Amino acid sequence: MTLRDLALLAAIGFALLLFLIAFLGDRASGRGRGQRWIASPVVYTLSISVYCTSWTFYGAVGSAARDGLEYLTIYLGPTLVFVGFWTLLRRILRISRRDNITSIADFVSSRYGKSDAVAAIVTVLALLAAAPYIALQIKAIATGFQVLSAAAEDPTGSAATPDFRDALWITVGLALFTILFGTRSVDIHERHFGVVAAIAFEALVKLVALVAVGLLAVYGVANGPGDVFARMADSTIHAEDTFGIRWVGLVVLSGAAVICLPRQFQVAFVENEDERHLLTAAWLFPLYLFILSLFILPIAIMGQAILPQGSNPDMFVLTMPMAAGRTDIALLAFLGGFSSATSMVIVSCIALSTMISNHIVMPLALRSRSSSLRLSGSGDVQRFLLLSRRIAICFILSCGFLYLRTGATGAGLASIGLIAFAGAAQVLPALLGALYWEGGNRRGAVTGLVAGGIVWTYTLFAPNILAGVAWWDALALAGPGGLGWLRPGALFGMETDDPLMHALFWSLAFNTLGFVAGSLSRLPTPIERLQAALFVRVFEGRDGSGTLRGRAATADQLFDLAQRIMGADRAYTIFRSYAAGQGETSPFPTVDDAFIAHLERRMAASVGAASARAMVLSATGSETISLDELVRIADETARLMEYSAEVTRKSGEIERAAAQLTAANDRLRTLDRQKDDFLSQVSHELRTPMTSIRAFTEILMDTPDLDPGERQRFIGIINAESIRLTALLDEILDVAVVESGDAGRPLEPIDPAVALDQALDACLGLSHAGGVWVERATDNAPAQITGNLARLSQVFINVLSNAIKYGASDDPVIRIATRVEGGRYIVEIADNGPGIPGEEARTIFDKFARGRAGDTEQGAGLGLAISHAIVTRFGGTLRLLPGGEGARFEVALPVIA
Amino acid sequence: MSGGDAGSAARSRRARDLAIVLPVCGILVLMPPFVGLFARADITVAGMPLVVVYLFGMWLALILAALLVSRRLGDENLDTGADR
Repeated sequence: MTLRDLALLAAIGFALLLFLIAFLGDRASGRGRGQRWIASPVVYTLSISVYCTSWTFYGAVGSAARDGLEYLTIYLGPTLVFVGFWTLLRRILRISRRDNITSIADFVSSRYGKSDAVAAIVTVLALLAAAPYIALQIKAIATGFQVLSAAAEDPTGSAATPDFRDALWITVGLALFTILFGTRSVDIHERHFGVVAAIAFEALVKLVALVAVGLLAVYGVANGPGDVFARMADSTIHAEDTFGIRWVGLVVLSGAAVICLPRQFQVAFVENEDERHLLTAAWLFPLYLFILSLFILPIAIMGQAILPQGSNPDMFVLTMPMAAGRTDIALLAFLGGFSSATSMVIVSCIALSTMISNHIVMPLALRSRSSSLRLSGSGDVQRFLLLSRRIAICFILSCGFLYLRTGATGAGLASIGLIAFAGAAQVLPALLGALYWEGGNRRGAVTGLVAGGIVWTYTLFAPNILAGVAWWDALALAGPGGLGWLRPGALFGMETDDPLMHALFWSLAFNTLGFVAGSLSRLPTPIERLQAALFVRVFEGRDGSGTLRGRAATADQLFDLAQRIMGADRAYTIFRSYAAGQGETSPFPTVDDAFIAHLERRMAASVGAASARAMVLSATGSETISLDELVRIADETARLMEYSAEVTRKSGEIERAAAQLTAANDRLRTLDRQKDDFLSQVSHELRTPMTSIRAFTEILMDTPDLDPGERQRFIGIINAESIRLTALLDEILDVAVVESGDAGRPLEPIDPAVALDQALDACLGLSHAGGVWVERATDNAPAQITGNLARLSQVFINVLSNAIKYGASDDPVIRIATRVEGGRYIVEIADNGPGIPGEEARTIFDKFARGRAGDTEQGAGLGLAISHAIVTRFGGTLRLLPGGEGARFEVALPVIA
Repeated sequence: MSGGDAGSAARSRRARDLAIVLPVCGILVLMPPFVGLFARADITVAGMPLVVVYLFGMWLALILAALLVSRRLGDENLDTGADR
């Protein structure tokens, strides 16, 4: 059995093993959480190690042999990005998981208003960069195979060129595997557990293989690490001129690539099962890179030391063990190279095919046959998507194969890998802008991506694939149209011997400039502003992208749409669980904005944000989000806030009303008590004269022989008591009359001073009897008020007699002051008596209230109540002024202007 | 435990700050001009060039620091993925 047969057998056996692992992985993911070995952080980290392709496995050794420590930059960049995961990766991951992002193109387009154009540009850029990269992987496998086959004749591997029949078979095998495990379904979260399991396994294989070769180099061929460096050619390390601009540039480039390469985005963010896995990957992935890098340098040094001059350093990993007589390790190394190449191709194909189907095929289909996609029940979008993905995978691999066929992969593995990196890095400005700059918009993203992409193509990609083509060589030498300053190798006269740094500088410069200038050239649209806020402020509270659609669609229309994209079962599950969440008993939920947003996100997991949006919009009938609609939403929010404020206010009002009710109730109780008090008072008052009248009339009837003097006295008493009774009844009647409008006494212009004079005259006798001194101060010109003279003087009499009656003191004085103030005629009547206590002050104008309970003075306690009613009828006020000594009453009446 | 919450919040905060500072430190020590100071062919450590030892040593230190920080950060700062 030759080495070639062994290698062939090993490769086929290994491929079968991969199929088995992928199958088990898919099955494990279908089971419960207990079976989820597949969802461990270690598997996640290992799957990220798809970063290490055959470029690392074979090419890094070649790079180390040619350029010394420079190869480390390719691993230091990702190390820094992962060590700093908190700042950048966590942010991207949170957004990707929240919005069910399916690819890097989806992520960027989603941020810039779910734009088809942005997604398509990123996809095309990724596709351009990927073709040579994939070609390289196929070439690496085929060449490795060739090296082992021809080991006897050509132990240095320098003459080994890939056999295209081998390459074809490899390509077909890869296509088969990718289609089988990469396009089983348009998975709801775009995850491929089987594939992840397989590439995690491959990551282990390449690590073990490279470590084995490295250990052989250090301890088998050399005699420990010190010996390795002792046998190192002086020129290998290049320590003095390694750490310059190129060092920085490559670290930045590789750091960008570990995020922006479609396959890296796929494994790190799309396939992520749990955010916490990032905590492990943050150190474990750098450790993986560290271990690989650690052994690359010794392999390169020992390869150079023991292999003849002119050996291909890219194949040292294979040829060095063979030269050392260890074919078993060479075979292991071959499997390691096989692993690194296949895993890269598989994941790249999945990521790219998703991008192609979601961002190029789907939008075109939506545009050209949107009616059939929307309306025909049999047009199953899911099948359409899967088919387009399978075709895309075949297309990508064919591109890679053809690229290999044209023989443009002559350059070292590392340099072609770097070209792809530089292409992927064009997404970086738009990506960082998406995460940290709310001002970035679609125009900026498109401008930046197109500018960067063109410069990259012109200065790096085209020179690489077109080198040797006559017209290009002529152009490269003289510049387009003879314009020397436009030469692709020396743009604007920047002469350099490092085309990569030259291209990187110019492409990123134009890219960033275009992005910033484009973004600033117009205001962001509402949808851009919304997405910007959702991306940039991802950690500030929960998302709320829900409320932006019209509601023309019914649940069954949406179901129709969803089942064509996701399949009936999955769509049914989604609708059912959402309906259950809404508390509906039917399987169809109520169609509201939140549900539409939910559905759009679920569909975005299959077809990408832009397409899902387009579909939902066409189904729900609202084409764009207009500013009006945003304003309406803002209004709705404002209304809601107003409403809640009103509720707060109303509840305050209710509280106040309740307090007023309580107060009123208390007052009613007081009034009721007063009424009872007064009724007993009145009955007592009425009873006293009635009793004496009855008693005296009985005496008069029973004793006819009463002497005339006596009889006269008794009749006089009866008369006086009758008069008292009548006065009392008059007073009660008066209240009723005044309160019911006093119809008999019309209102007319009067001089209140006249009424006051009459009242003072009437009270003159009373005041003399009480020894009261009355002072009167008039401080105004005569004024006219609307009222009734007799009634007004009644008011003054009541107040004055009240003051005389209750203003008892050693030297009683009543002060009367009149003035006109603020359009009102004011009379203040004050005594210097003991005043009126607070509780009585409140009820003093109520009917039946009597000052100073227990006072035996005459009167039914109606005087002030009547006065109050009269003044109120005249449009004025009668009140007890607070404070001061004694009681101070104020009558205020509006003056006729 | 009184004060335990404030203490753990402060610890969590410190871990977050460290997580932000860590890549900055990494950039500082792995980039020129700093790394250039060690690029001297004439100095060797146990037979290995100084710059090789320095680069790999710094790299390893960075990994260990990331390991410690991620342990300190704990789970509470990240989504569990239970909703998926």
